[in-house]
Amino acid sequence: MKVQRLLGASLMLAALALGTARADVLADIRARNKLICGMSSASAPWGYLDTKTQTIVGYEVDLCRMLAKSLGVEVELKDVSSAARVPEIVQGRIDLLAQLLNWSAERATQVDYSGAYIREPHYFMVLENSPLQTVQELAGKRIGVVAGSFLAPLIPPAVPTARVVEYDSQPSNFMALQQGKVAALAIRYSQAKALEFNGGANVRRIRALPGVLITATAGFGIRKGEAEWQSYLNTFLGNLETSGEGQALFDKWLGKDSPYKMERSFRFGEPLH
Amino acid sequence: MDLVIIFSEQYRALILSGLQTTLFLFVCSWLLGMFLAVVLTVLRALGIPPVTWLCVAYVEYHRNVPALIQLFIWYFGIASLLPDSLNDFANDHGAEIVFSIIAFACNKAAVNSEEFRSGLRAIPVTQMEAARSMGLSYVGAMRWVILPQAWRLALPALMGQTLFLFKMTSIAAAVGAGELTYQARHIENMTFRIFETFSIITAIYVVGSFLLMWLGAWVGHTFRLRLK
Repeated sequence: MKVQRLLGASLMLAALALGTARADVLADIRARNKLICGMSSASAPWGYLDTKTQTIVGYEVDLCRMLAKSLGVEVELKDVSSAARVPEIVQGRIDLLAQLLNWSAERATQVDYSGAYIREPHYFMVLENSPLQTVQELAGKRIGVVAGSFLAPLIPPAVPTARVVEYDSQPSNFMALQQGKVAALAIRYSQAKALEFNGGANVRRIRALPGVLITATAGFGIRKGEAEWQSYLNTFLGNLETSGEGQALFDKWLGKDSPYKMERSFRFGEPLH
Repeated sequence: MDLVIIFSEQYRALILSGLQTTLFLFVCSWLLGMFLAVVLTVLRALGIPPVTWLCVAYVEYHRNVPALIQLFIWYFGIASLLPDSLNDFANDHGAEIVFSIIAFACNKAAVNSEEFRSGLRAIPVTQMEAARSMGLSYVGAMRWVILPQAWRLALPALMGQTLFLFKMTSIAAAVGAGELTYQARHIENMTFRIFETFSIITAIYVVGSFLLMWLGAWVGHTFRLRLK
């Protein structure tokens, strides 16, 4: 008995370690009547604490809520750190990741992606009053980036002599620029602008150096081999495009109704690459 | 598990540079922390009320506020109060490392001074009285009678704090200091091999901790009191 139980337990542990002992995600969500959505709560305007209402709001938060509504279940927003987000998907602790997971070939070996829900440019950004005018002038300077960001490996090819400093979160990264601890940030345009906007009058203005670092497309990240779940997400995103809900979402957070006045350059649900 | 990737030349160099930074952080903050701890212990032993209060406040702050927050206060808070010229200098010369060392040293100084104090308090007051009545001065009594016993009594606790400091250096990653955990995260970000990367890092921390424990045991054994 004892030996059998021990054997069973170790088999279960082994299965957990390998991450294989799971039914399909869509069935799991329906069974527990809850969608577990991995996101970030420190990433305006994607997911952040609205200080007026004391609730977590944002573009990706709205997306998660709309998805949960389409499934007819509750939503649980689970804050995952930028550094731990891929393992969180691989280990199945979240049903999907809605945290600006851009497509990359290495990542695609570990996780699957849905179609797109955002495409936007990333820049090197500096303080408004900085003497720096071109990307070349960043040579030998310190450049801040968030740990776990796909931008980190792109900096050395763009500016070979720059020193990359990785911070734990986007606010820390932004603060480092404000205090002159780094000369520039490698950052998503909307995020930099949102940090500047939400900081109010106390923060120093920032601007992008001419020349896009990369334009990247992000979708939901899910565990590999969940074809049914993936196709559900793609249908969901496709519906956002056709119903106009996607446009409304974009306008609210990034477009004409937001302080950022960005133009949409993608279709919801289009392939990532 | 595929450890081969992590041991490729590029990543091996990152791990080694991380280890170097970890050791640098550890040694510098240990030395500075010990020095400050001695200063604190002496200040407190003077028994001048306002000085004692300041020491108590210092110790309580460092014992009761999470180390990560103390680090942020040094890196983002106190740094912003310094003049720009000093900040520019610090930023050009690895501000992450400098402020991490200061934060860790201040933290450990508080805890170590408490360990010193408990070592001192463990020696009965009568020993001091006996030493003085034999004609030793206060400093002489401290030097020859009290301190030789006190530091040995404090040694196990100090060893524990030393081990703790070694592992605490990992939080410097949060402000971008390129130590072992930072490099591990960096490698993980490039390879997405979290288990492999952190297995290796864990092994390095464990080996480091065991070496420190062994060193502590050796010091304790070598300097044990030989009672005749």
